[in-house]
Amino acid sequence: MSKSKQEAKIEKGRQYSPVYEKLVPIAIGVIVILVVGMLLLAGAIALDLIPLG
Amino acid sequence: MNFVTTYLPFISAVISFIFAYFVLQRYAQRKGNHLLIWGIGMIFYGIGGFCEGYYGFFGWNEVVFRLWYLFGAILVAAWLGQGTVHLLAKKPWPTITLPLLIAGSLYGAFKVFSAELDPSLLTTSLHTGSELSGHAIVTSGVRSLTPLFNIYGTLTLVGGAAWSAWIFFRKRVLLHRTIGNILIATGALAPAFGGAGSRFGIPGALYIGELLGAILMFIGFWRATTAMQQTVPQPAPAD
Repeated sequence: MSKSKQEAKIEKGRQYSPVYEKLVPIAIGVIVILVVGMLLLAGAIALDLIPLG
Repeated sequence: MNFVTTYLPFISAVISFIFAYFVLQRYAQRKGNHLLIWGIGMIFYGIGGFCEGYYGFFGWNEVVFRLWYLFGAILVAAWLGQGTVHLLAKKPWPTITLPLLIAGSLYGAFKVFSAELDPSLLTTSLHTGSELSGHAIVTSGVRSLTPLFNIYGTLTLVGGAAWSAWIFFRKRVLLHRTIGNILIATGALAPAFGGAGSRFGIPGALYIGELLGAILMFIGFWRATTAMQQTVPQPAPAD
């Protein structure tokens, strides 16, 4: 088997440790939600939908 | 005078300038326009924090306010995000967006330094006047620049970092860069939420958000550029 095919087989079974396997996608998901929320909030403030002092 | 409105922004500024030094040092060693632009962005971050601390200690100064609004409120997010564009985006996007950002920055500088100011407007029903805010700007068309630059900066910096983290996670490689990018994205969001909190009259929200942001982004940068030892045993290849 060629070296690149061997490396591909190793990479296919690669995993982070169990803690990061769980936490990383949650963290990325939370960040995406926060970005969307921030953009909606900025839009609402710009359109004066949220009264401010 | 309290700790949040005086020492905290100065601490943010110091961290930002130190961070900028390390980023520019890396640029000097490895080149890469993204590092240069990030370094410039972190200098802007530091200028903003310094101006906030100056106001907290010494009170109103027209030049300091204008510098704060230009660098801290308008430019910093967009320039940090532009660095990410240079790292991740394919040609010709970096070449197209950088001149636009420079032109927009010069226009913003003109608008900020020619704007009429009224420091008495810093005190409103929601704000005590102990922190800087854009309320002191009387001239129209100045404060409306801020969301444009900040939205661009948020989408590119936070979005780019989150995207990078996802790509590394999907391939299950370079864990240190996955973690580093998550920290950078979170750090970049902190001042944005701090600014929103300030708009709603939460005392100290902006300054605390900025300090948290500087710390998290600095740690994220260090994490992303420092390899971790892989602790997960790799499955043996089939014979």
